[in-house]
Amino acid sequence: MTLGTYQTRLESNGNIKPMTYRESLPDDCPPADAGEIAATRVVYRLVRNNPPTDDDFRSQRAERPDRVFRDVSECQARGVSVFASLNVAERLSTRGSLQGMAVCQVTLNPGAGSILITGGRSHHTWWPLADYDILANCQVMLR
Amino acid sequence: MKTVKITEILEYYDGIQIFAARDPIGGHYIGDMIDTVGDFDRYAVVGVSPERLADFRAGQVDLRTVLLEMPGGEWYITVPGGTIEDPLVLEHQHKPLPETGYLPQDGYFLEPEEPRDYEAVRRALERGKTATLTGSVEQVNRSTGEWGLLTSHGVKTGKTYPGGAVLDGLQVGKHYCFQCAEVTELDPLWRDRQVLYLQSIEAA
Repeated sequence: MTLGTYQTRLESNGNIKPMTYRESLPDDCPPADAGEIAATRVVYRLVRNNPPTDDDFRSQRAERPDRVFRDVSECQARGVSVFASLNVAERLSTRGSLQGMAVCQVTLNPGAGSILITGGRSHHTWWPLADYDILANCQVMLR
Repeated sequence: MKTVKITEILEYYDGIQIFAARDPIGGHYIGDMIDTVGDFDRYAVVGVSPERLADFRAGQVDLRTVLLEMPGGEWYITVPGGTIEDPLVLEHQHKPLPETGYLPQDGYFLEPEEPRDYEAVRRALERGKTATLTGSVEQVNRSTGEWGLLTSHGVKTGKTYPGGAVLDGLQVGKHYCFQCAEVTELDPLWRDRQVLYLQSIEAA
């Protein structure tokens, strides 16, 4: 485990800038298949607070450091679950333990971090960069 | 002591919500997260026929119905621990599941893994030599030739032919036109999904 994993990215002006993720990540995380967010896109996450707070965007590992993740990689456990589909997020919000959570639309602009489809059915894992202002880019959806 | 191994995560959100599993003699099971105790998630698990599991995965039957169809009224609780190699131990429950409050609401359908318009792709291929998909690249694995494209009809996934279109230079998040030359039947080696085979790529 490397605390404060760094990768680098090449900026348009040719400078190489280190990427610092919001949470400490294992080595080789995000995986090589995860794409750095290079174009604006929208995803959806369930949040407990309205308006959302930083706590709504903590990874499961940050939420519960000793939680047992058997069938999911530590890398995924340190990312944030989001959906590409609003329908799926809304459906999830009716599930027992998730009931009552609000669906938040999050705009991921270049510099938001890295993202990868994980698990199908629109589920993605997002590894936000430390300096991405999540709260300025999210909006709770009205039901 | 009955044990199963998870074969597929059917729904994930900050942890496994619903999974499919099999026992050592090939029986199928479905597990639904009911709550969390300490650092462990707990799941209600029931046996399910392969056909009914397929119906659930296809979004044709809801979770409550599948759980209520448990063979012989038998159901279990499991608390996954250990490593991925360790089987899940199922603890037989005596209280009828409908009396526990663990059942999900009516109408909780799984989103079909793949959009239905693969048939449209197939029809397009029947009319011409290739079918065009336009969208932004979601993921790309150059070593295996696997790709994902977010289209207006959802995410399509597929592969390249050996020695066919190369994925070098593709940028995640950018838009492209994928010319696909083949769509397969559900492929058990491709997580029971259909596979789109990519012939060529153009900038959108």
